[in-house]
Amino acid sequence: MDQILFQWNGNTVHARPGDTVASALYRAGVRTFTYSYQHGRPRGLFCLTGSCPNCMVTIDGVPNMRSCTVPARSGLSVLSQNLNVHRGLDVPAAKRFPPAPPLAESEHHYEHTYLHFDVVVVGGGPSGLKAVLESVSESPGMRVALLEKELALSGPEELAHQVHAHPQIEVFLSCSCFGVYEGNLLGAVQAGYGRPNAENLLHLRARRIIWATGAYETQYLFANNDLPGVMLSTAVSRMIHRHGLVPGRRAVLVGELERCAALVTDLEAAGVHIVASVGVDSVVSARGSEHVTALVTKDGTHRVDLVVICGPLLPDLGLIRSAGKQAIAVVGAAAGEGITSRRYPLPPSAQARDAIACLCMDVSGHDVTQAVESGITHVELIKRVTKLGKSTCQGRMCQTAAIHLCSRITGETVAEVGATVSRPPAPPVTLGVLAGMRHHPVRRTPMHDQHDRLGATWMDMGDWKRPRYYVSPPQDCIEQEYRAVRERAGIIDVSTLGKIEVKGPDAGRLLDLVFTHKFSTLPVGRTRYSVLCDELGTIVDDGTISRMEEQRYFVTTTTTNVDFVHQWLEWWAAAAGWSVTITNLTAGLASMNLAGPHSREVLQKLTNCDLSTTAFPYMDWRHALVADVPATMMRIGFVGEMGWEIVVPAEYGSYLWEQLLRAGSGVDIRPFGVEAQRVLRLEKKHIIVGVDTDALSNPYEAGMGWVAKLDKPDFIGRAALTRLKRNPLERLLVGFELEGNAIPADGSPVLVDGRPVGWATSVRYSWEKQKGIGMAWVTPSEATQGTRITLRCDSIDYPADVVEGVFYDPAGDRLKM
Amino acid sequence: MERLSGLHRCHLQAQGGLRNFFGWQLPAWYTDAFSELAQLRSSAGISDVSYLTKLDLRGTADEFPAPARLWKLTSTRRLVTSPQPIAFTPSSSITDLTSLYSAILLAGPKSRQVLEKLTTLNVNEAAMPEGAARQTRLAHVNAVILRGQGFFLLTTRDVAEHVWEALLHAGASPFGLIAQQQWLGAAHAGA
Repeated sequence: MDQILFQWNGNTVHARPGDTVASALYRAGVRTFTYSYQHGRPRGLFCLTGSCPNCMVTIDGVPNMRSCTVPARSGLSVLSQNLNVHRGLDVPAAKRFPPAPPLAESEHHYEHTYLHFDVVVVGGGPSGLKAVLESVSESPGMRVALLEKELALSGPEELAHQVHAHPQIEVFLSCSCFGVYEGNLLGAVQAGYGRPNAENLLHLRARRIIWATGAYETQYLFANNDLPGVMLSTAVSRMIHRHGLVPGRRAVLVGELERCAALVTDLEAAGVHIVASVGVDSVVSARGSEHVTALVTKDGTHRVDLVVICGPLLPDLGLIRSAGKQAIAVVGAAAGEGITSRRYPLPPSAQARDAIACLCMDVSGHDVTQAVESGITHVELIKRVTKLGKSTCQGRMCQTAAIHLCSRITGETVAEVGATVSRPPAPPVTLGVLAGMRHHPVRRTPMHDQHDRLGATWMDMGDWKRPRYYVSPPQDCIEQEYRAVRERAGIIDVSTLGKIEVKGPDAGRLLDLVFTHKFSTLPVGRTRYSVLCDELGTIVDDGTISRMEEQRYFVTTTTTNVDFVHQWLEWWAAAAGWSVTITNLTAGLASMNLAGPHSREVLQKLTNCDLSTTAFPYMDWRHALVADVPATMMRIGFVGEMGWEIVVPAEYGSYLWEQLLRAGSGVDIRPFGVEAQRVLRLEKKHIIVGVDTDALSNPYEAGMGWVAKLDKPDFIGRAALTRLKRNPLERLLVGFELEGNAIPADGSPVLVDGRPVGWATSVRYSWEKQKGIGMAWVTPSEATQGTRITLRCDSIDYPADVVEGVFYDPAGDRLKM
Repeated sequence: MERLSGLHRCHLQAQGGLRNFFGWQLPAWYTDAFSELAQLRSSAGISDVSYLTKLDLRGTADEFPAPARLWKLTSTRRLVTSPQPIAFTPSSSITDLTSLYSAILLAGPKSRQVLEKLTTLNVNEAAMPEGAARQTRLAHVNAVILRGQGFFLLTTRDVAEHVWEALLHAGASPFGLIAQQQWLGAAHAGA
């Protein structure tokens, strides 16, 4: 059999099969596992059930792992924590969270799984097993899940065997339930799922939940009760029975001795000499520096290396107290079965400075006493003031102690002191498992591979990938792409633009209502640009709308707004009760824009459709075969040159792109990216909604008052636009030319006489103007030809002059060639 | 001029042996059809069925002529799928979604375990029997899931690669057309 070897603070430790990290370390002689977070006190094994914070170590880069719950495995790197606090090198009061250690050499895998069961039983002890078998026998076809946080079921072997063998029962081991949520939803983390360093977050929906989590043992308050060597009886019992460890040589037992009668026999059988058994009431303190050496009682001092606390058992109900009114059945010890004593005696030294009430945050009996004496007598307030119960063990080890201490000081009953509200997640979970698998969607156009082959540099636009430019260095190739469009022909993938089909008897009415233009009168075969305004007259989106048939329109939107426009159309159609069918066809269609003075001869090579201006004028569309692909061609021009937007079924996009590039090789056609397109459209002062406009921009301010057809009977935003038209404008979107070649960043503030008047929305170098150009929001007094403005970027001033006209082809002749 | 599915890049990356299938370029196999079929029958596999004709039907129709199959999405919305092209008259109540939706067949005895990692939908046998159609989220994107001879996962073409990768990550292995036709044929015969 292979040896199990792992690293402990740089030393190699041998482990046996079945060992946890904690048991292997204990066998290797390790007694101090880690140091407390706040004061750096030495800490060793205490509960061995995953309930306390005393064995928390960093394993493979993941901090705060309870070593008693992690199976030992070869190659693990285990480190103790807070050593610097112990050495006095870190000041607790100003303690920062340490920088996250690198996530080790070994990878971590996080997954989520969504499961649905008739019954989920939490806890695989005797009553849990009984509950599972009872539930599954209720009716055939019942699907039952059993969650057990330990590595194995712990009930009678016969029952455990039946449960494992039952086809309708699914058993989840190493699986801790950390929360109960609305609608009988359970959150649970299963560790080591499938492979090392893996965690699986289970989302379990159950018709019925049965809670069989049992009870846990808690500690007593006396001075130095947190010293290594002081242990709960559960820990001692597990050491002997599960791991074959001898917990110590000389032991003293404290607390509920009658409950722990069996333990006495076990200890003696293991060769531990029991020095004495004492009541809690007589305990004064434990002694020792790194490890316990003696227990001081009223009746004398016992020299021991093991103090066994037979502490009170508490039903493990924390999470379901926060589950509201959901129907959760509680069974077994969790329901109080077999718990005879509810007594919690406090020893005389409970208030002592060194009695640790909260093991996680080092809150002492003294701290609690001080808080209570200053008038803080509800446990919720004690928690907030002292930090008691705020950390990883979530009050399991401290809350009962604090309540009873408070009760003793104030004379109030335990019920009056109250209990804190438990909130998930308990036990704590890693952020990694909450995040789960990396599933960020990426959207790709049908021509993605073509762009890759052409050397595209990618940019993200929403979830889409778009070519920014082809082949670096960028400045040269952007200019070449720009010149190709202005002088010859260029082609750009515009498949990411939203494409929505609106059809049905009321399609025209709906578009009349939603857009600022009139579409019910648009002839079939024509295309029109329009904007979509909201009720305040704010520009929300823009695009072209083509009338394909009497009752069918094709709407394009901006890339990131298509879902909004789709919902907006659906919403208004539903509100009006109109008969329309609206379909977002974006991903089903590939579209590319072919533009430039030679674009006609390129396209004509691939189609029989007459492309002459007389047969196919600007703002018309036609159906035709292009390279044998059924296509819709629309003569529109965002970049300011004669051009066609060609829309085909997505599965042909890649093929047609290739064919167009081939057909254009004679005129040295170029694919162009978003950067070149931005320059081309800026020279035409074509706005990009969301770049040049913001959440308040209206068409009048944006210099597009012509889009608002106020003579239409009604449309969304008409009332607001009517008022906006009457009132003086507060600001205007204007063009400007920079003096030099240096280009400040988009978004730079605009100053006049040192006073801010607005900001620049888009700034680019224009090869047409041989200088920087842009658009900016300014106050109306600056919005006149020749006004001197200044852009400021990184403390550098860029002088510029306002330009009223369009920078390139103001008459638009080149679009209509 | 072949039609390329939204998963074409995945097929190229996996070095699938591409063949023409009713006008679509699809992989006949990735490694070899026998081991793909064996894997599929013992575990879970995914295959590209984007060639399926998909129609959106508004109204309350209850059936559609074979071999097409009608799925009820909502009380007034139907989806029609067919392995072969369907002749239909376009109207305002019928829309061809063949190009819009990529389709992945997830099949095999462990296909449910794969789905459980990617959707909150209850995919248990009782909750989603043969013939069930659901609209849900799958790997953080919108999807339609149809339960036929396996699970047919329909997502818009732009995110198909993302969904394919998520399915691989969740434990499914790809199989080509040969294994796919075997599987669908065998399931047909059994039904």
